[in-house]
Amino acid sequence: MVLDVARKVVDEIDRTQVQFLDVRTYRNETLQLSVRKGDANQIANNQMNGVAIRALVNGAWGFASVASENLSEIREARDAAIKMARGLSNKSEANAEVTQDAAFEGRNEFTPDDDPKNYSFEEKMELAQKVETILREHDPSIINSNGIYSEMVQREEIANTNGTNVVTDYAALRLSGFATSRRGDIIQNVSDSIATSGGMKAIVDWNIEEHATNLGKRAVDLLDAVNSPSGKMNVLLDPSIVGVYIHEAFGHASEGDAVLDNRSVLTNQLGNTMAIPEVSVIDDPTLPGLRGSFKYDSEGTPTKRRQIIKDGVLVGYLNDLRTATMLDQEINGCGRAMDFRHTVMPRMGNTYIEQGDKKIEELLEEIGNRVYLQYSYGGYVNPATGEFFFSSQGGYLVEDGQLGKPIRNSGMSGMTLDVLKNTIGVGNDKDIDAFPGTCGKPSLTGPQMLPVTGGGPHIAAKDINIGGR
Amino acid sequence: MSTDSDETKQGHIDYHSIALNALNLAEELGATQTEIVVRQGHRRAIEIRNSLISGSQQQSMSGVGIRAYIGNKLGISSNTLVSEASITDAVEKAVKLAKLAPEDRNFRTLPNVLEQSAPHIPDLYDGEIANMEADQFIDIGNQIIDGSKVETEGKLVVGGQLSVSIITDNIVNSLGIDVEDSYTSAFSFVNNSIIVDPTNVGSGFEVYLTRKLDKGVDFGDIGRTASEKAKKTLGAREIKTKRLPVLFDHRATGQSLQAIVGNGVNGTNVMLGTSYFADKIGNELGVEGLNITDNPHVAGGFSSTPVDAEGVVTQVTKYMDKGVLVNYATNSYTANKLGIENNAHAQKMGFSGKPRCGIWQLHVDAGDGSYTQMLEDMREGIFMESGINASGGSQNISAKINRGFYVKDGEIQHAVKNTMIGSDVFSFLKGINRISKELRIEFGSQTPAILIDEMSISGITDTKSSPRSMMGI
Repeated sequence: MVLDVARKVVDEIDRTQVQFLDVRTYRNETLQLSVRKGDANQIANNQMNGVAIRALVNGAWGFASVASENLSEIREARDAAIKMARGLSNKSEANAEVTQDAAFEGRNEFTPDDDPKNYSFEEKMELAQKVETILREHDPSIINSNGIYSEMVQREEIANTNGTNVVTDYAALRLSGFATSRRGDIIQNVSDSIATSGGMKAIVDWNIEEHATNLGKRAVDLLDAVNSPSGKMNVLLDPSIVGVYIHEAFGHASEGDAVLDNRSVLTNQLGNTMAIPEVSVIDDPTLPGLRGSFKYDSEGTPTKRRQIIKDGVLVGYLNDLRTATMLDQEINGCGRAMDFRHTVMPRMGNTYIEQGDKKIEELLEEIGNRVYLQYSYGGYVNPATGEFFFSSQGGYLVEDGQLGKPIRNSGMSGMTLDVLKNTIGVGNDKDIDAFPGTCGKPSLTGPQMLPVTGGGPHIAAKDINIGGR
Repeated sequence: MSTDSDETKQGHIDYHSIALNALNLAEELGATQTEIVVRQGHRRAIEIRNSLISGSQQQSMSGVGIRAYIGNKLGISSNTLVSEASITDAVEKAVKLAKLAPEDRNFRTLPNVLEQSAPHIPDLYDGEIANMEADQFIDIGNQIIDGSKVETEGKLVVGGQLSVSIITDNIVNSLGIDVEDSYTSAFSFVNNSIIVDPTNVGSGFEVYLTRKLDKGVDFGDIGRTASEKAKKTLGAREIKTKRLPVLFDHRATGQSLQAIVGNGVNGTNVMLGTSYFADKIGNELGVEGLNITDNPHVAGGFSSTPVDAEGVVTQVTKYMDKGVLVNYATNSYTANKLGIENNAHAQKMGFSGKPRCGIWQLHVDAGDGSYTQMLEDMREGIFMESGINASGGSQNISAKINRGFYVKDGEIQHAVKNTMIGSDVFSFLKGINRISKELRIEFGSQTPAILIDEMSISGITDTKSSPRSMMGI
């Protein structure tokens, strides 16, 4: 068994010389089938196989990865990681610590609700083709149409010096549609998708006809939309925008490494009021079947629901073993790595604002004659300064509590420490995975992209800065 | 598949032979055209967190990528394992997928080998980078940390990274392309913060990119520059919404044009009709003084390369001539579809997949404006030290000012925060009022500073005005 190999490589070391060591074997296979404007685009099978080793010696980390299943090469990588850590510890005041009290045993195999293996290549191809065909045939102004089916299954086997022995699978399946509409120099892009970690059920249950048709309509309608107004104003955000908003505004700033490294405006803010009492923020990878759901993280820690903000107060951070130890915080299984070439760091899973009690009509009245923003493209943040950016694919002007003219794509900015305090109202609806996305974050081993979701209810907020022409 | 001859007596693996063997196997299995990329390489880095060197790493970058065509049906496969068994498996999978795949009616052919040979571009491989010792990394890290320590109010937090990569790509295809390209690269970024209080945090970023380590480079100065930049953004304030002239410094100009022009000339986007520059060859899109060239042959240029991701020899490409759009950036697929020259801009993330088009490194001609004067002449405006891009793939620009300053009476007053900037790509390019005669030449690129007549700046709004009064309907 591969885990036996990992365990063997760990157990061979001299424990008096190494604070902590883990070995993570990794296997991943992806299938991507994409159709563009009626023709096959990418028809790809990609595999990743390798081993990641981290060593902590006198407060300094060494990391080595090797694309090999050969025991001697894995041992070489382990020894290289230890050597790097030792060498660094001799010349640096690095002071990392990892608790030795956390050891976990477990096995989580991918047990799909509906196994992708039950579906032929042709059946999967047909899903992508159906999305794309509906988009392309919707209207001549749609000049580009994409349908993409992707599936990824990975297995990590983790052994560490604490005694952790965990085998854990993760799967990500997704069916997406992208469309570009054009009239003269006006170009608009829209997208929609269904994503799951549970199996094919959510994919085959997704009403392709309805979603692709609506997507095509959005693309065409945006050509007649007006430009968004610009400046600070009250806004109503749909759950997709709320998902990105909370991910960027708060999620990254609550990641333990940013907190620990004084790179977050939320450092030393536990217990402080961050939002109106109606706002609570959760990150929960235990929710079944969502894109950001997983059972064990890449350190073999069982994951759990974590509350970041409760009734407006900052109550928790997102931790891996290092940050939990050094912040003296709960170990909550947030240590994720993109693949074997990358090291572990705190990352989000499924981040959302809990639902409130306001109807959408009430929220529209609250914001006055302003804007309603829908369907996010994504965003980014500087956690150290707390400035973040997020964007919408479209929306509407709001006049006297009613939806008015549609508006085109726009970008918005805000400040982490202000934005949730500027919440006017929290909707009573709920769409936790309204934005199934991919989160990027820089690391020692380069940028790491991971599947996540974001969502919540509709939120009305004031003083959101919109950039228009 | 690999034979004893694939390993020399010293145990060194002959990746070129592995690539050729994989090509033959694909043909045997029924592929009509095939491309194999075998990459061997690794990356090493150290990381600075919270003003300490916290970690060191070495990372495999190796793998094999296959594109197999049967007629116009494509199958793609890749694996990070480079072994006989894994490559055989990957080739079999690629060919199997090609048999199953629907057609791509746009595909004509992979690139042929041409008469021209790849240019020798000096300083793209540095043996010293390849053989850097761990202590050298740590020494550089400590230089960065020490150099970052500047006098300032608040708490300085140093963060950053030094990373080096050593890569050899073997690119072969069934039409005779057979290229081995070895290159090194090193980059260092420093991202420093100065915390006065949670509502007043300065942030500064500095970067150093190179293919060959210059012994004279002062890593301490990189840290110092990042800290000085962080100081400059302390006390950042919001400003009122209004239309203002905007001066982009050299780097901000380069970043903005790389993004705006890069997306516009991207052959894939042009082919799809999604580019805002589609069908605009011969149109005057920028001011007369705007001349933009893409030059991948600069000695030691960070994005310099003798061949693109398909093994086609690269060339210098002019995109804008006196403001007139004259070329797109193509690869074999888009060039065939568009019926124009393949000017070798195929790019991939890593070693696998179908290449898209991308630009290499822009050279923008100098103008005749004085950079100092351009700032001094601003009665009121914005000075940008960060770039912008069009948003959502459209022609609209709706971007956050990541690093910008409010200017009044020719002097920088303060950094701005939570401020957006808006326009569209055509107004941006046509609104260039002045181009500096001073160029910043670094990392293989060359850019002037540019002054834009007017852009929409969004910040504090007068609460008495309706948003509709600010709209560009």
